[in-house]
Amino acid sequence: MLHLDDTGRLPQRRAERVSWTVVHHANHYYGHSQVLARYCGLGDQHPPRIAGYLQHGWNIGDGLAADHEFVDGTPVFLWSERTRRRAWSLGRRETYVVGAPWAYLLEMEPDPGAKREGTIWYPFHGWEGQHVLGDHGRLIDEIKATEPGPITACLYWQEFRDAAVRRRYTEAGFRVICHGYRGGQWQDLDPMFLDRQLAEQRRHRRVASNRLCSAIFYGTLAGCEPAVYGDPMTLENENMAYGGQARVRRQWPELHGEQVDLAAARATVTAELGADRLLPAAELRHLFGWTAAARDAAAARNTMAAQATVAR
Amino acid sequence: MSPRLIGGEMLLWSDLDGTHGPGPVRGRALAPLLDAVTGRTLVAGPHDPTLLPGDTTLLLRGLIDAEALADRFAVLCGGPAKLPTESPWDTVVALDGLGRLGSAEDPQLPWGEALDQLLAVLRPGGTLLLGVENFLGLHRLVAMPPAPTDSDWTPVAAYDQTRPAGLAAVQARLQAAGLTISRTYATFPSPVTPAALLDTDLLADPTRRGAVEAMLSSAGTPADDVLADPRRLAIDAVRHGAAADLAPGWIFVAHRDPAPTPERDYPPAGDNLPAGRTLEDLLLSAALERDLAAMRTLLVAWQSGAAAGVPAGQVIVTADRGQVALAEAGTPAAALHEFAVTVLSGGFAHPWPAPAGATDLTLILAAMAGVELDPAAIPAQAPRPSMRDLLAERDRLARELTQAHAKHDFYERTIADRDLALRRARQINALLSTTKPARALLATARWTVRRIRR
Repeated sequence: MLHLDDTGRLPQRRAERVSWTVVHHANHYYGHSQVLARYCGLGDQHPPRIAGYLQHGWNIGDGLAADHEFVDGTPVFLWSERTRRRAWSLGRRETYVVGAPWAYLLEMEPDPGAKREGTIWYPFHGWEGQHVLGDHGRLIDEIKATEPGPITACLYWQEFRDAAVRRRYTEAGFRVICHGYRGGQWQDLDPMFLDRQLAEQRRHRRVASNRLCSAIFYGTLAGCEPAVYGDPMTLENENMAYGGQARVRRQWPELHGEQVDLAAARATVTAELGADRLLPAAELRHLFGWTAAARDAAAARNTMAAQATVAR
Repeated sequence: MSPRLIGGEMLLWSDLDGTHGPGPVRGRALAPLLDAVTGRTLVAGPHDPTLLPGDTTLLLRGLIDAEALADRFAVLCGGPAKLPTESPWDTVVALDGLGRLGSAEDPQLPWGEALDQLLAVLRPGGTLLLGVENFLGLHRLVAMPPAPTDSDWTPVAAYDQTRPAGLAAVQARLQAAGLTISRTYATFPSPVTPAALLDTDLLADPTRRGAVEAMLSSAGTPADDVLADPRRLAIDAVRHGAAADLAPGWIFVAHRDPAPTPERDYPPAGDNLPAGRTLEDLLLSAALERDLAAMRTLLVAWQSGAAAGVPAGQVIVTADRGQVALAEAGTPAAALHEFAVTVLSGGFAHPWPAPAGATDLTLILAAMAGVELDPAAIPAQAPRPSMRDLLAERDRLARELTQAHAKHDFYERTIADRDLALRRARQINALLSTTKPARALLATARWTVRRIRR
């Protein structure tokens, strides 16, 4: 488990390998399959294999990760109608809009309405094997000049593990956290990643980043005011096929700026996360091939309940 | 010049290269229409760029197309949602219709909204050239089940409640939007690749029926597999006064109120077309009436005249029995062969007994005209068969096979009978040749034959 505060200790990788059988290991990123299993009534057991490929991040292409192997004919479960249309135009046919796991999590975990203050700021990060090239110092100055504070900087585990990067943010007076590992190849999977992210975001009034990314969409849906500003930095080996940052700023202008039109931003976020078209659990179970597993889980629960009654 | 990105542009997309859909609306038949546009002009949607005047502004959703054309035209790239911020145009051209204006990045654009967005940038008194596909068009009636293309991300079109269905409904919708329609053209054989643009007034004129049929039958063989040859259906539609309603598409020339501008010279009115029926029509009538004498007269007149090499469907026979050719002449053998193919593939109950094929029928037709054709002069090529042809061919082959089996059985029986008869004759022969009286008789007979030969 990663440390979620700035104690300075390096996070330790979990050693054990979880042997879940899936169509694609990316279905388990960020505990996505776990959240959906909960929604589908499978409880906290390890989620069964999803009969398809689940979009795992906000995406300006066809919803799939460019570097992931994909076999034609596999159902693709996408977050939004816009992504579905784009995926179709790019030749993907077996697509179905289910919405983002994040939206299901919010359905299951209503906002308790606790006091919110300050900003949770997500400096743009690379993913495993990529690094961001940019001036963190200048970015920090810009954040301090814009945000009234208090400011929480949430780093990706790669940056969080880098003591020098972490120190720059703590020395600026930021609280520095990390939501955890997203996992990969069935290793370091973290079923509570999104729960932790939600708890953090609900403590803050604003969510901000230097690039429009999943965290901004998540934070906005979780009730924060979004802001995207500052040097978007450069990503090592960035795939520019879909137009890169220039296109993102052109086509989603309502989410960019230090202050945005909240109603317009919320409408876009709701659509992009498919939060206005979540599926009933029965439909999701059927699509994922989880119907039998859900029946088994329900039977097991009934048996346990009966045993508990007998024991009493 | 770079294209101006107005929002909703599709990065990895081209409508013009034809890999994601049917390609741009194209064909020389559109040239007279596009040559007649005047004033500041917006061309919205995928059009063949070689047909467009150079000083127009294009609206294209695919960045690949926009970048490719930005050197030759002013290009706006994206969906039509942001158009209303532009200053209005004198002419707006959307011959491809409204179905391929919207981008995958934007919510699905209903037909009615797309029309409103184009009208919002048409100045009062300006002209709209709008193409509308007819979902009950002949091209659809004869189409095999189509495979969806990359453009069909929301293939709602026929169920779009804002989209008027049928010619009268489209005209009413345009009038309701404050437009005055000055011309309506029916497009054949497809709304994307029209080879013929026929004014609907012309389609309704019975005296020009022959010329209209000729134009429709020359409007090109279907490129794809079809259920039936659309040209025969088109000719039938003309005969039934339904050609405008069953046209694959329509193009409307409409003027925004107030006060329509003086009618532009949008061609073609068809006033110069000859009156009369096609020779093909007359030949088929004669064949079906079994009036072979009239058939011979027509064939002789055709094959002895200047139009001998012109296909019968392209020859108009006027009231004074003159012949007007509407197409270039080929060889007489090719023209006769084309008519033979029409007779056989059109499913006509023709009078000729079981011709072995189009070549055989061509020879018969030539003979009726008093000409002995060299079979080598007859073209070997056959048109791509439709499903209807294939079914008819299957039935014909099944019939021929049954007949061949019957003949085979008959031959078997005949051979068996002859074998039997032969065996009996040999037995009698052998029997006779081994007895003394028989040998004497045989010797006498041989001697008699020799005497007679001398």
